[in-house]
Amino acid sequence: MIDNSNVESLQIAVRRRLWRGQFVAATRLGLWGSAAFMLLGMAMHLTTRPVGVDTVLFAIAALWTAMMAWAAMRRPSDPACALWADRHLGGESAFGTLLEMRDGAPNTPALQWLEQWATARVPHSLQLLTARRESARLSRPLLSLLVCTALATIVLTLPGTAPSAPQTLATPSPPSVAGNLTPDSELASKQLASALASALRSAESRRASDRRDNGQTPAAGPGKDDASRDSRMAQAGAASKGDRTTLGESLPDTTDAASSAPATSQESGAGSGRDAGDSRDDRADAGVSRVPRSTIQVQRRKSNERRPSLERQADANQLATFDDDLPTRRTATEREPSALAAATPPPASGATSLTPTKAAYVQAWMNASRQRR
Amino acid sequence: MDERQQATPLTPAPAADSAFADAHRKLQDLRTLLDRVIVGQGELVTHLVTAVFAGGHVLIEGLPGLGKTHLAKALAAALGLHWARVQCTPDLMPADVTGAEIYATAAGGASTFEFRPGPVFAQLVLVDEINRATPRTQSALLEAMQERQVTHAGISHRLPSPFCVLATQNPIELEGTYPLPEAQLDRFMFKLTVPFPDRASLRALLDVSLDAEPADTLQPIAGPADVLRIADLCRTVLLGERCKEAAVDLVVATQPDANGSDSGARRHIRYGASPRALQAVIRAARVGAVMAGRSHVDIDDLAAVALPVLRHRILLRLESELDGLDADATLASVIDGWRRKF
Repeated sequence: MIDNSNVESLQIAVRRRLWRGQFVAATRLGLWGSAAFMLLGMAMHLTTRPVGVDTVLFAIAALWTAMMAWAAMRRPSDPACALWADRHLGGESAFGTLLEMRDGAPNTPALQWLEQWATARVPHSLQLLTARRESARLSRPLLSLLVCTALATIVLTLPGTAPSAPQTLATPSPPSVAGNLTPDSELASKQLASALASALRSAESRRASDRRDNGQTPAAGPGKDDASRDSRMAQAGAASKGDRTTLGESLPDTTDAASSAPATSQESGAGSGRDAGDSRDDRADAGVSRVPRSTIQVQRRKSNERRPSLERQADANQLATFDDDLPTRRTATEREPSALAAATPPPASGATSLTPTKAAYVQAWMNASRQRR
Repeated sequence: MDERQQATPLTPAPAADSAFADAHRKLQDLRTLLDRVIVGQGELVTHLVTAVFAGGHVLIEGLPGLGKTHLAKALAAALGLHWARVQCTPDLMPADVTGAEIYATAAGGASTFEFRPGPVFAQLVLVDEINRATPRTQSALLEAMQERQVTHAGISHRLPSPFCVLATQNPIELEGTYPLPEAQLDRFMFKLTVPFPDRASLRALLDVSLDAEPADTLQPIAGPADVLRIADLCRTVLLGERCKEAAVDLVVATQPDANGSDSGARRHIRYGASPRALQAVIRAARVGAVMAGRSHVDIDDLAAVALPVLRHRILLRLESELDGLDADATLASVIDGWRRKF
């Protein structure tokens, strides 16, 4: 029997080559998979929930473990090695046939000749195997992995940018003014709103007692000066109502007194412009509720959906009255509907501090109300 | 005792270690010799030698004047075979091919009918323009080609061994001809086409055969015993499982209705190759392996003989023929598709 050490050495070399190819393929898959995991982690981090770096790394480690195990288990068999050598190393089916004929076939001259032929072919095949260069094709997955790693490093180290699911479900409405308030300013606004509401409540009760005492009806109508005053007061009240409504939505803990006072004022304002004109000066009140314009517009759009058209009109007038950029031209027909709006206390707003002038106005108005009472 | 029986007993003796090397050398020498005589027809010569040593018969198709008869004569001369020629015509009778009983008078005065063998009783029979013989005469060759015997008056007469029929036919001038039936075509291992030689071959032809007929002066390099020995050796060539599968796939690929057939075959072929084609492919591939110096068959050996084995064993659809498609083009695509799988 001819020594087949040369053939076996070729088989070992081929097996090493093929097995290495399996590992290269597994590495390629692992690189693509790692990049995919990083992209997935980034997507989850940005959209669904915060994903930790360690989670992504754990998934990648599991993937690589699986890939390497997969490659390790795919050890090329002897027929596969022989077939590969036949196809790619000039074996001309010799190695495969020799492998088959070794097992149980009689030692015929043809088999002897085959072994001679295969043995003589081994050096040439080894030379071909050495000269054979196959690209690992790892550059693209490696580049993808590097890019994804850089992106993931940036994204995953950010604080959780994804909104939490309960918050998303609980607050479907747009953010309110109060969402932008600091706790101090919110507290100050609440206190101010409470003070104004109590003052208005006392003024309203005083006016009601006066009406009862004098037997006047709201239909008697105010004088000219009163009318202009009432108009301004109604505008201020309408604006306050709009702001209060928004504030009330965003601040559900507002006291009942503060929330009930505007409703009372609105009822009385709707019945008589003169009664609304009893208020002192509404511009200072409206100034209290002044907030950044864009925020107010959004809030009003929201609040206007729930109010009748007259209120919306008064609300717009209020905006026009206290917006310095808008012209203050206003006809009598425009003012009359505004008188229907309630004179409501100036609501708390996003403005965190009052200017001395505004504070003085508010204080004076409160003192006057107290004196009238 | 028959010469073949002397050379090849029922249980062949193990060949010596150098048997394959000797067979390979003889085949190479024979091919080189014929290449010198038949200029520019290297592939044709290879296939012809392959068929002779594989024990098959060859149908050669080509235009007149391309050296078909010359090739047969040269092959017989190189192998030292007894050869005969039958020129087929429409009035050729079967007895003119197989032989007939004649009334003969012995020296003692006794007269008996004795069988006089026809030209088919030769080791190499050249049947020229076989398609001009009537079907009756053509069918007389059936038994001889397949069973290697002739039955006359109830008595079977063994044909000599080796036995090979080289039939030629002309692809033009088909008036008054009788195309060979499929059953008889299937008896031929190869159908070879003789291409027109290129310019260099034509130039070399002048130097070889202008003033003399080289086939007449050829010295044999082997004898009938060598042919039989090499043929027996070729039957021991190893055939791996992969090559067996490949050969089966090749034949299946030509079937229009079989699972795993080629798409071109399904579209253009009406009848595919027979199981006899599978046997012919393997036998021819084994000779090709020995010719290549191997004792095992490779896929390339199968591919090399696929076309001449299959081209006369398939029938194209009528619409494909009307589209100008021929068997060679169809089989070329089938073989290409089959070769890519291995």
